[in-house]
Amino acid sequence: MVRPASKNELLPGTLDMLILQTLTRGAMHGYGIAQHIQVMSDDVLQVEEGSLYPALQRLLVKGWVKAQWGTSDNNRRARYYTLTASGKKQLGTEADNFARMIQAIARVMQTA
Amino acid sequence: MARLGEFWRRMVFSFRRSRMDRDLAEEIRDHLARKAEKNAASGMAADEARYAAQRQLGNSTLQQEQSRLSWGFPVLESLLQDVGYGMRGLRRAPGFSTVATLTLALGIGATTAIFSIVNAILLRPLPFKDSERLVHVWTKTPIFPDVNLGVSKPDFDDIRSQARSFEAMALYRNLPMNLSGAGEPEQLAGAGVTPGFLALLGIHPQQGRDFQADDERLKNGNVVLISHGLWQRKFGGDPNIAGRPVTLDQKPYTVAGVLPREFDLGYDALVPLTINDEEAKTRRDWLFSVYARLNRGTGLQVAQAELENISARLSAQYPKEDAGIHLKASLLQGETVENAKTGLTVLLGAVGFLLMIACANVSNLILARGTQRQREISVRAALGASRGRIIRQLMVESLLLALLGGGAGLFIAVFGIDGFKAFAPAEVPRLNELRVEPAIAWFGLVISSLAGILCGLAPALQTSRSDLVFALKDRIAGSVARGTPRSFLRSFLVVSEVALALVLLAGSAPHGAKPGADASRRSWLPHGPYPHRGGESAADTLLLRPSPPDVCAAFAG
Repeated sequence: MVRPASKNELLPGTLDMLILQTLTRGAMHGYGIAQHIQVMSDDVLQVEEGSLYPALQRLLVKGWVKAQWGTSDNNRRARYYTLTASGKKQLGTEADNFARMIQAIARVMQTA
Repeated sequence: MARLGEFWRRMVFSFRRSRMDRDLAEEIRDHLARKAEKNAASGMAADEARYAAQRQLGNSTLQQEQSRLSWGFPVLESLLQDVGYGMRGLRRAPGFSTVATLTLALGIGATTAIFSIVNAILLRPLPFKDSERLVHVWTKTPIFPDVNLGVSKPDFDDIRSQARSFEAMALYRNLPMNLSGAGEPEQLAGAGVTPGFLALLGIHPQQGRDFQADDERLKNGNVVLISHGLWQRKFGGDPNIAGRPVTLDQKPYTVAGVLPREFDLGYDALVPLTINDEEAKTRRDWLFSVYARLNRGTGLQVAQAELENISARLSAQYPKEDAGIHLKASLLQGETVENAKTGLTVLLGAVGFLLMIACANVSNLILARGTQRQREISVRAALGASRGRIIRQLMVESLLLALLGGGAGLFIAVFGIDGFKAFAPAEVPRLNELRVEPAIAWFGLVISSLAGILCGLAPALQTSRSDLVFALKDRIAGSVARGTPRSFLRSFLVVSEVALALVLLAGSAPHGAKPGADASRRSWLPHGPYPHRGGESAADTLLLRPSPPDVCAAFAG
């Protein structure tokens, strides 16, 4: 799960979306993905690292990402994940749903 | 499409499991190393940095476990595990397994055997073309209101010219015949039929030819069509049987052809129907049976209504002979099996009870075994198996037992079917159609699964409901000593067994045969030369015991 720095749980299932979104920047290894999410969210979102690898396996099975061994910056072997075409499509759907959800929540919060 | 792709990837991943495992482990190691470097960079000591990285990642074994769940088919795999575990368990308790399997095998075997008989006789359509359109036509007279009489030739001619519901009609008459000159003489169930008879049923001789229009005028001499069974039994399946001479009722006949094997109305020989002048004009001689084929799309009721009109016309037209008659049509399918129906249904019910008794017995055995296994099950529960998982495990075991029993039961069924064929009374129709077919195996499978669920469910629910603390304590007493629910279940099983057995016993009583009653049989002898006057009629009324052909031979010789 993705956990905000505070104890508040984020919506379940958003980790997949965040991973897919991160991979739009190009191939990345697991550690890189976790770092990226944390940095981009100004340290608000910390990927609970234990959930990261099971989530990646799930995305592999779904065919949304592909994995390949490569060499990283300091000449070390690392497993790089890339987004597939169907992964892009899936990201589109999830992002739309997420946006709609956020808008709906915001609307409720403003009127109440 | 997406589903198919996912299925494919799961397949591939479960085959590449060890490589996937290695990749994942290495990946996690790499992750830990990077994290430790980062921690060290922020000022931690090397050891501290590594521990912190490990802490942040959490339980990596658990994560690998969870990752593995995505690769294959976890439900299927754990089910396979259960099956493997169950098989080992059954092998460890050979006495229990054997007794339970045999008990179930008897129940399932008997049920399957009887079902295959019911299937052949009651459920499958008759082996004739569009058999649901075939009817018998009968006459009911005021004098014998309860008897289905045949139809007289003059009435038949009138029906044929007036009725519009039928596409074809044919006449036949039972005609027992004695076959001699081919090994042991034998009394044949035979019939005289009009030339359209076979065409009406949609049958073609498998060898030789059908009757022709002029066969009844004996233009080709006497001709006979023989059944497949007789052909095999008496003529050794001679491929050149057509045209061969045979002796029937001491008259020379020529074999015109052989009827196909599926054809069974209980006749071994068919000859062209001959009707003498007397019979041809006597309206009161309701001698002939009538087969008719309904027009396509004409229901039985329509035909029946039309027959009622014709009956009324005949009654009015020939008040002396036909006053008050009613012509009736009945479907061949229903009528062929009507007599066998009650007996078979009772039999099926009886074996059903037998199977239930077997299930109750096995259920009891499983329950008793569950008591012994209390500790094993408690340990599983303590290690985190949910109650549902334990119930599933126990159910898989009883299903395994039932399937083993079912497999053995199929063998019993096959032997049972042969036995039934050998000992069934001759009146049971359609016996030659009885055989083991795929439908029977499916029935056996379904019945076995049901039996497995039936005998396993109660013990599984019972056994899985254990008190952890109590059962884990190293005392044999376990939950048995105070286990009132369990002893209640056992008493219930025993009571239902006794009840079922009683029903079975009571049900079988009225169907007991009177000794000797079935062993006698009426026999006919042909007109012909006999050494003593009156020998023919004496023999005609004689009730012959066990072996009619022999005594016939004694008389005729």
